Amino acid sequence: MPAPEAQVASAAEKRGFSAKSLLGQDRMIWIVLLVLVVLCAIFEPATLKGNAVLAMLPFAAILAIAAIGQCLVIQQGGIDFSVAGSMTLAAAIVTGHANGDEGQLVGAIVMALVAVMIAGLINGIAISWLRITPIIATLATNALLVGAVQTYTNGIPKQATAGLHNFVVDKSLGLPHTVFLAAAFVIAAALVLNFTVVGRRFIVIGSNPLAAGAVGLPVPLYVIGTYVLAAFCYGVAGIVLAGYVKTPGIDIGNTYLLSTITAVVVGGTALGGGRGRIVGTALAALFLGQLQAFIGATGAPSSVSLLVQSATIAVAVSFSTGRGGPALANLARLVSGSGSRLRRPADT
Amino acid sequence: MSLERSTASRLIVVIGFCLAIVLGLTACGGSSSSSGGETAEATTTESETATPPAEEEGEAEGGEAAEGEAETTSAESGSWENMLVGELGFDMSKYCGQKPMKIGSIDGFGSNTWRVQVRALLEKTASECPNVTSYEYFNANLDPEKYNSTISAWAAQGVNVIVAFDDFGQAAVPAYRAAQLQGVKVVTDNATPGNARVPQDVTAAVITNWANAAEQWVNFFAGATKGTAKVALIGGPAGNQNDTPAIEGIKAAAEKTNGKVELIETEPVVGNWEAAKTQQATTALLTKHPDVNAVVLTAQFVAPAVNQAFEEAGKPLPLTAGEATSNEVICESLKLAKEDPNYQAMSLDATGNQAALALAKGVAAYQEIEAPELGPTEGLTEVNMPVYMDTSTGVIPPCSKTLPPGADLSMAMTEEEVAKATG
Repeated sequence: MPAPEAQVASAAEKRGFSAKSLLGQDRMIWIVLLVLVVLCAIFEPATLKGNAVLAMLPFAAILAIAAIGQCLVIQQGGIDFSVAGSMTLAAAIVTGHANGDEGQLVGAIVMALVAVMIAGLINGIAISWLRITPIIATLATNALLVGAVQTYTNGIPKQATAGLHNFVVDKSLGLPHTVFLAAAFVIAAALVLNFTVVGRRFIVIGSNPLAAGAVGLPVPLYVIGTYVLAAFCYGVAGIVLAGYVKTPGIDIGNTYLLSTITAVVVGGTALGGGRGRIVGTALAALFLGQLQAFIGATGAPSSVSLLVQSATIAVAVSFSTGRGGPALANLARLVSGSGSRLRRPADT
Repeated sequence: MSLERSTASRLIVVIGFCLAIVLGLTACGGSSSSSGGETAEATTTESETATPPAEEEGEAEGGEAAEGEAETTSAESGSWENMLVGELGFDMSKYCGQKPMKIGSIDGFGSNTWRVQVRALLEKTASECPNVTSYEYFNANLDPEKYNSTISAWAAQGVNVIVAFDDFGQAAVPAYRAAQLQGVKVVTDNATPGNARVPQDVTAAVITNWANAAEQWVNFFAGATKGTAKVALIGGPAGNQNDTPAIEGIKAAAEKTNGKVELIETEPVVGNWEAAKTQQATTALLTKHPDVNAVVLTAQFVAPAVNQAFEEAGKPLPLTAGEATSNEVICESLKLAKEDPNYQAMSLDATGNQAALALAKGVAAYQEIEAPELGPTEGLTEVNMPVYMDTSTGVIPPCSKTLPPGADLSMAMTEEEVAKATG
């Protein structure tokens, strides 16, 4: 009988991990992104011009970094609502501790990352050891983090150091540094998850924690590690965001709570866990950034903007989960009146 | 049983962990004040005198500061209609009366530098009345439920005057009305409280005279532009009560300039009064209107985000005008005015003083003192805001290297008082 680890590895092999398949797994988000680009080219071509894209990329990159953390958590069957508090705390510490002094910047970055990783550790322990539902545990941690931010800042945001601001805003090879940072996160996460034993164990635990536990994998350790790693991603995203906007408000992370989850879901990761799409998540962050730019450029009122955004996300999710085709067929049938009984996607 | 015991011990470990983090952060972040969501009570006993701060140099940036001192005479002193930079323009002690009173100050969202400063200004103004027996503050942290229930609770506890910064518009009006029915004098500042009637639903509502502000901005654009100023307004959250009257005012004022100033985006652009969103909104605006070259900001402290978006789009910096600037904007303006001869910015300020005027009106009403010099007792109290910075006339107030970026030196507070409030 093969060793449990070999069984797990073999199971992962059967899932077909290779560079080629990685591209195939994310084909739906590629298509959705392509459709958006075509729409932009037709209706708002200016959004595809160099400067417009370069202005959109930093925000998409920051979202991608945070969303990778969320993706890891969702892949483990969890969800992390502490992303907002973590990003805000990291931004508050990196600006508050350095307080304009370049010499303190490295210390401030380390302190910010350690603080949010401790929050991730609390999440992991609460979920893994204390068996608290992820949504409750992370909401509670988020409240703890928001309180910590208010205590730490006393409601007075500080400014990022010039060094951090310049690093984040500057470009190399014509691209903002945030893009390289996001790319590094995507590549590292995709490689570790798909081509290492640790990564394959991680996937197996996410797919079926009971079975993984039965074959001797340290499930609690992986769950705790996931939340810590996710917090690290949020921390980096918060630090970069603080550098980008220079004076981050003390609620700067709030908008990332739902947008990270949206990016993960649109990117093709199942909310139930197991199947994770790191590259898809990063592409979805790009999609959301461009969608925002597109809607903004049309000058649509914010009410219309929200409606278009939610409808687009619904369509993107239905396609990325493979239900878009049958749903469209149903819609066509409904419009043409050719069938009184709609078919459920499962019927196909 | 053993499982329960082990779970309990883990729970204790986690709680200990959380406490350690909170204590650690508290130690790092330093001191004072209540955190959001908590009611902080402070009894004011000492009497202080308002000190005009605008001329004080303090830690201001050396020679550059001398370039332009804050303009204090743009409005006629002593008139409620015209706010002043660095002073209130009225004597609070005249309205204190004899009856002991409890004062409450509430913010829909109180966690930014400007709100922290306004809170300190209100405490300072209230401290001029020796008959104030207690002064309470509450930050609802964007929770309308907490906001309304705190107002109701204060009314029940016998608070006599409530100064409210209305972040929730119409949603808060029933709470104001209920408090007023119990004899509380509710006054609001800086934001129109929904469709509340004055004095039935609120005793007074002090707001910026947007038509006047718009006229000042448009006149600035007309004077500062070499060609045509193509204007857009980047404001706060969708549907806020300030942007619509502001853009209406700009539209009306621009029509009088014979095409020198043109409003090219007729709806307010949603920027949430926050840097990240403002930058994204500016980028989208530039995509839609590549020729926009002048921007009005109803919260001018986000101006650096607008400038950054223009820079990244490879465009010259726009003319900017607005209300509520900050130390960061002043410092940046001093730098940009030196580097770029075409850089032009103008701001109307002393917005925090609106809260002090609202307090005075509320106190006078509670003490049954007639005070026509504080403005009307029916309808909105619309005040003209003074020019604080205008690069076209060389007026750039001092930049403080030691105060936080969001600090506002245009209120009726000395630099030391601002430093103490925001330190």
